[in-house]
Order: sequence, then C-alpha cells, then structure tokens
Amino acid sequence: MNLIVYNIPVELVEAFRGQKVIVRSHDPSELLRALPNGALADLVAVQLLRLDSDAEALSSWGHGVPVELVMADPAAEFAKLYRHAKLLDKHPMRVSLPVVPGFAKAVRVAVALQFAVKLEPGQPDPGVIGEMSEVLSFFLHNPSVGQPVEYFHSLLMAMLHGAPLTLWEIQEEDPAAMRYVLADGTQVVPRPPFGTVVTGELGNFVEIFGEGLLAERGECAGCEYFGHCGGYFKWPRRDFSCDGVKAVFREVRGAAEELRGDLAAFDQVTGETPT
Amino acid sequence: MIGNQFSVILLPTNKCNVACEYCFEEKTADFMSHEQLAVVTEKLLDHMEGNAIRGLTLYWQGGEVMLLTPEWFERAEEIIGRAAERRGKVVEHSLQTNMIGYSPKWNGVIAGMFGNSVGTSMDYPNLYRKAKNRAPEHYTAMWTRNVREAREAGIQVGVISIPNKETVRLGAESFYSYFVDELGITDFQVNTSFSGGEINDAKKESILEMDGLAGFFADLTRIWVERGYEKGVKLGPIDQLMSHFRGEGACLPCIWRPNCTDEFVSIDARGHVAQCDCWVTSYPDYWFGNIFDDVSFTELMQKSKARQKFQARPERLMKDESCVGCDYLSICHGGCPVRTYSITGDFFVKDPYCQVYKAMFSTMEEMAARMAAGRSRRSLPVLRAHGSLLLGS
Repeated sequence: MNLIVYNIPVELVEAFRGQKVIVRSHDPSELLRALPNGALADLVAVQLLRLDSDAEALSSWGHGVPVELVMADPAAEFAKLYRHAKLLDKHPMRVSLPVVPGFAKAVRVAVALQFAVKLEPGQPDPGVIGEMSEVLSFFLHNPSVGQPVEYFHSLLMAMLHGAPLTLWEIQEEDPAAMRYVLADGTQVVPRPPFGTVVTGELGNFVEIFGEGLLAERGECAGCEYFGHCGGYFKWPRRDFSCDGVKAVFREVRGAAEELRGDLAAFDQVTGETPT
Repeated sequence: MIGNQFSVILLPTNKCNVACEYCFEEKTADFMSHEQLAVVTEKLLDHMEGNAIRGLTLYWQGGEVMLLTPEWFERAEEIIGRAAERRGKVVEHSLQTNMIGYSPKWNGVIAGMFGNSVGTSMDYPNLYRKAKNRAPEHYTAMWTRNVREAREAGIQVGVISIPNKETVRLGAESFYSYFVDELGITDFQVNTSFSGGEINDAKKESILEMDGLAGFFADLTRIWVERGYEKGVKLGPIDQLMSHFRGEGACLPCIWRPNCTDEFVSIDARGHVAQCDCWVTSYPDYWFGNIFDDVSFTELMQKSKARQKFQARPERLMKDESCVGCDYLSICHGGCPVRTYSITGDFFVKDPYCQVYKAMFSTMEEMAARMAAGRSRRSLPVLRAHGSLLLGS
C-alpha cells in the first residue's frame, strides 16, 4: 500500500484520485470546485498560497480539513493572518513561513491567533539566526503560546524523550513519506525552493544523502546534533556553515534538559507524572 | 460568525424607561412586531444554513426590554423556536435589562426562556443612572429593591458595572464590598466607559484618567484573587484572565477577541444591523444595512462597506500600531473599536484603554504565576509557560 502523501497543485486532483494528497492553490474557490464536500476522503490538508485571497469560502466547506496558510513574505504579510482567523472555527490551521528577516512578527501574530506554525528555515542566512533565537525564546517562555511552533516543538519533544526523529521528518520533507508534485507531474523533494533535481531514488534520498555527508568526514561527521538533524541544513548546498543553526540546537537541548529536570522534580514532589 | 455558534444582540425596542445621563443610545419609540421578528428569524436561519452554523444565541436588550410584556416574549420564543426546529437549529436566549420595570409577573418567562437568569447594570456609586427628573439615589433604590426581589424568587442576577470618577476615588475595596458583601452579588462584570452618541458633560467626565483607572483595575484584581476567587465569585473579565493565565479555557470578552466581526452582530427594532448594540444605537454611518430590505442577511453582511472596515481594523493595527510587539497581543488584539472611535474619533488606532488593559493583564499574570509557584516546589520557565502544550503531545 502506498503511504506517501503527495502535495499537488489543484489542477492535478483528478490525476491523483485515490492517493493521499495535500492540495495547494492560490484561490480557495478553486479548491472548492475541485474538492466538493463528500469527495474529501483522501485529502490530508489544503494549502492556501496567497493570503489576500477570500478565505471565507472555506468556512462552509470541509469541516475539519486542515488548512495551511503558506506565507511567501512574512515580514510584509503578517497582518493579513487576521483575515483567516475565523477559519479556526471550522479547520485546524497552520501557518508555514520562510525564516527571513522580519519573520518573527508573523510568528507572533500567528501564535496570537492560535494558529500552529511551521518555520521553513532552509539554509538560514547568518543574519537571521538572532531572530530565530528570539522566536525560540518566545516559543519556550511566553504563556500565550498555545500551539506548536515547528520545528522547535517536535525537536524539543524528541530531545526530551530521546526519540530518533530528524528534521526531515519533523518538517515533513522526507520524500520517503511526502512528495511535492510540480505542475507538470514531476515529483521532487518537498522543500522550498521546490524543483531541485535529485539523482537516484527519492524514497531513499534522506538516507543516502546523510550517509554521503558522514562519509565526507566534514562538519556533519562530528556533529552532536546529527541524530536530530540528519544533514537537513546541508541541503541543497553542502558547503553551508552550521554555526548558527547549531546555536539554536543548543538552546533547544538546554530547554529539554531543563524540562526533564523539572519533570523529575515534579515526580519527586507528587509521586506522579504531570498530565 | 462562521463557527458553530452565531450571536445576535437583538433590540426589540429602542425605547427606554429611564434617562441615564451617560447612555450612548439614541432612543426612539420603535418596537419590533412579532411579524417583523418572524422575518428576522427566517433571515438569520437562512444565513446559518448557508454557512453551516448550528446554534444561535440571541442577547435580548434595548432600549429597555421590559417595556415589552412577558406575553410578548412568550410568543417570541414560540415563533423563534418553531422556525429553528424546522431547520434543525438550536437557539438560546439571554436577557439584559435595567430591572426598573421588573415585577414577579416576569418570573415565568425568565425561568422558561432565559434559564432563570438576567443581566443588569449598576455602578458604585451611582452617578448617572436615573429616571427622568429624578435623582440617581431614587434609581438605585428601585433597582436594589427589584434585584433583591428577583433573587428571592430564585433568579440568578448578573451585574455589569462601569467605574466612574467616584468609584476610582473610593477605591476597589469599597467597590467590591458594595457588590459582593452588601448586595450579595456573586456574578458581576466591570466594563470601561465609552462616550457614544451625542456628547454631554456626564459622558465627558465618564472617560476617566487612565492612570487612576489602571490602578483601580489592578487593585480590584488583587482583591478578587484574595477574597473572591476561592469562593467562586465571578468577576468578569478578571476571572477569565485568571483562567487564561492558568492555562485553562477562558472566555474573554468581545473587546479582546481577534475580530468582533467574527463573533456577533446587533439588530435594532427598526431592523438596522450593525456590529454591536453600541454601533447600532449610536452611529448610523456604521450600520451594515437593514434586515428588512430585500436582500439576504448573508449578502447584507458580505457587501457592507461598514463591516469591511471592521474586518480590516486588526490588520491595520498590526501594521500601524505597536500591538504586534506586545506580550498580550493574544488576549487583546488591539481592543474595542467602539471605545476607540468614541474616545479618539479614529477607527484605525488601538484602544485608548491599552494602559488599563495592560495593568489588568500584568497584575493577573503575576498573581496566577505566584499561585502556580505556591503549588509546586519549583517550576521551570518552559514548563510554566505552556506545560500542557508540551506534555500533552
């Protein structure tokens, strides 16, 4: 049985009938036309690629279908998230946004509206690492955060529980489980910028890529975070310097250790694990 | 608005039986007939069907609703109930009255239609609420007598109160004691004033100096935590802030929601539709339309330029104001449009009570943290911040 989820443009809905799909579009009305109520069995989620589209149409459609708002320019678009706040009544909502200067404002607004957040760091510019740290601190310490901010949330959980989870999985970018399908039907690694050509079998891509990085005996070979990174930050440019992202890993690990100690102290006091 | 619940503040009359000096409403002699109510009901149900909304809450207020008769309400409930049943919808009712026209003949409809509960208003001390050509003391005496009589009949009475200059001068302790100890009210809410409608001296002086008001709310927060919280006294919105900062489910008031256009509308006795009772009774330029016009309610809402302004407000605030950097953005969103507009004359600026709200938020945050710290030997910032999110995953 094919368990792969395909992220497809709305035009390819018919071609992928019977497969698990995430359907993306700039226009909510296109989604409604292609995915009428009653024909949503294989639909995993929809992605709205333009925030100034009229999302009210989705309010009476597909109750419970997850909706992801895809931001291209968070520093400019952050306020537009308010247009979509009411969709939360009917849909689980998530905002995905690139880690570029000014993205913290979008995270703050998304969190204030109770949207889950998925950061797309790519290979972040050194100039944005400070803002990443600021957002991580906001996620860890601000009581208004009621939804996950990924990848921080799952990484923290993985480090807390010692779970063998990599950023490829957390970010839903491992082609073994998820494929991004271009308009011409080509399947690529589901990570922006989409369309980077990969030689070989996509299903083994992460494994082979990681083995290659370790065999090179470069920065990854001795990296204490490789188990949770899996070379995520070395793609597509292998010469990317990880100094900045390692600092973020370190902060998450510190929080996980702090939390583990806190839970142990709680256990000692109450004799039970908090729920 | 588009969720499973839809709320309408319905004014079946614009007429009132008292003459409170600071009232924002432009009174008229209009009453809604049962025939008109049937039209309103059908249009609201059409809207709910089209938008997959299951439940409707009608908040009945005026004017003064007790200028209608209990029999009028019984017939109204029948009209609405039958129409809703035909469509498979659920309608609930809530009543807001000044209680001046209350008598035991209302007990039946209050029990049957309104869950044996009413909301009313009183200030401490009362400076502006009064009957025509009578003193505030006369009003206070009538109100107190009627509230006591209703409570003796088993009716749950919730009170909304607006602090005035004397409230602040006397302090939060006196205010709390008056309602809880003297009147025995255990469910009340404190609102901030706004000077809607035609301006007069009472409205001008009802807009208080913000430092003093912020201090009053901070003190009231502390007093409620010390004296009321454990005893189950409801003091909105302070009790809901406690729930929020303790990580429990909180129902914050409309002034602090992401966008009030997503929450409710108001319809007055003439059929005018606006964002809330404040707008529908004070600012005709901001009416969305009239429900008795030959247009569906959904279309009226979608095409309203006035409503589009409301929808755009939070977005403008995020761009132009300092809200996005505020630690309390998630529980304020820039505040109330009608308070903003009536006090500043500008629609697209943040609520002028910002300072007061922040005083409440920070006081409650501190007190909730102190209570949490008292319960566990130590608590790390990351766990204290949102332990349920982390541990529930």
